[in-house]
Amino acid sequence: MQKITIKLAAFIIITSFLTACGGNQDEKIEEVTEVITATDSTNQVDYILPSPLQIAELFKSAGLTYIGDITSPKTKVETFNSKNDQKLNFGVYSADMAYCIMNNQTQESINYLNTLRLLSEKLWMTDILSSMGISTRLEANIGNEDSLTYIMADLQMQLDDYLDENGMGYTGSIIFAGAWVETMYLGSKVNESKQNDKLISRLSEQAVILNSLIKSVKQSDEENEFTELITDLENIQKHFSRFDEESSENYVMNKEEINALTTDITNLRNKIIGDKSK
Amino acid sequence: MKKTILYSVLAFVLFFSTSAIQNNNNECDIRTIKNECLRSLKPDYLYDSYKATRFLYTNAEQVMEIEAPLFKDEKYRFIFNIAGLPKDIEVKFFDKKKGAKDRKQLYSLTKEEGKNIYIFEPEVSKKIYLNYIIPRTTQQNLSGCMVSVIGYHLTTE
Repeated sequence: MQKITIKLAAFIIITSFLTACGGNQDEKIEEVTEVITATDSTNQVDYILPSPLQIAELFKSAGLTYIGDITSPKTKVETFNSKNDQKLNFGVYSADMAYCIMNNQTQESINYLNTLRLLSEKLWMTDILSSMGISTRLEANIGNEDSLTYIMADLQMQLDDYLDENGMGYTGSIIFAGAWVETMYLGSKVNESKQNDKLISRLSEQAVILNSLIKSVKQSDEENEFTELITDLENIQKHFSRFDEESSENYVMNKEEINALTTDITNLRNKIIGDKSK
Repeated sequence: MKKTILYSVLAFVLFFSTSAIQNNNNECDIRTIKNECLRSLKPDYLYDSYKATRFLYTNAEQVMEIEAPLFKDEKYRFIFNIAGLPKDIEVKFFDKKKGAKDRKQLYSLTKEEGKNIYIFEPEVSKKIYLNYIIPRTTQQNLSGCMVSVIGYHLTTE
């Protein structure tokens, strides 16, 4: 019996060592692969895109007033079935929520939060919106724009954490694309209703964001799922053709340019939300 | 004899458990590292975004560039936490992208003993380029991470 125990123990130890040694060989193979990858990444470029809240705040400080019926209809949330539509419209609704918060439309903000919650369930991101008690915080801070802004910033951070921790960093640029198009749409529509030079200046300045956004979406698009979105964004980029990234001169679009941009950004936004009526 | 076998097995288990723990030492707790940066936003800056960059030190120097668009006349604060670095890297900001003519260095992180959090407030508009220069190493399986939090303070009315 003792001999069998000794043999068994010896077998386990030897087998384990052999397995362990085999494991090391695998690791060595992986190390070589990693080295190649890392050497390739010497020219790696990444992008930091601003939060939709910052752009909304920027537009607000330039005179972005509130027009109630221009935000995306909440009822449409049920119609977004593909993951890509859901990601883009998550961005659209986030921008609408930021727009409502900036303009002290607390109940509408809560309504958009609930819409985002429905969409996040479809995207399996439920925990970011349900764990923070955002509705309660929003209700407790009605009329306090500063506090509402901090709540929105917290929400953005939770989303950033979620995407990073779940290896979904690239999803962030798609969500941001939806948010950016919606914020541009809101800015353009408000400017269309009453021309505002400060707002035009801020709309023009978005050229710098669009440039990084397109590169970031292209980088995310390993499976060519966003070819159409990239083409649409590049079409918008044509309106900023006079913009020079290297120049220190102030770039502001003229009336014709801003009108043409408004038309195309409206078409793109309506395409994203699946609205052909507006 | 039984005791010898028992001790051998225990030693064996202990050896591999310790190895496993050592391998995990380089893993980054991004959320904790990021949260430590947030304190430096207060009181004037609002959270905008953060970028967590994970990398493996290799036998060749690597340069990772991060492009960040900025809006004119607004204030920005970049906060870094180097707690996730097992070996120092260079952190620099430039006004133009890698390879561009007349590219100027705007900032270079100088490490101070016992300090993990560093702050840079750029005074440029349009775009800024953050570079992580990761030195070569002969050490195997050495990984690290850098976290950069960006805060903004709108000044225009």
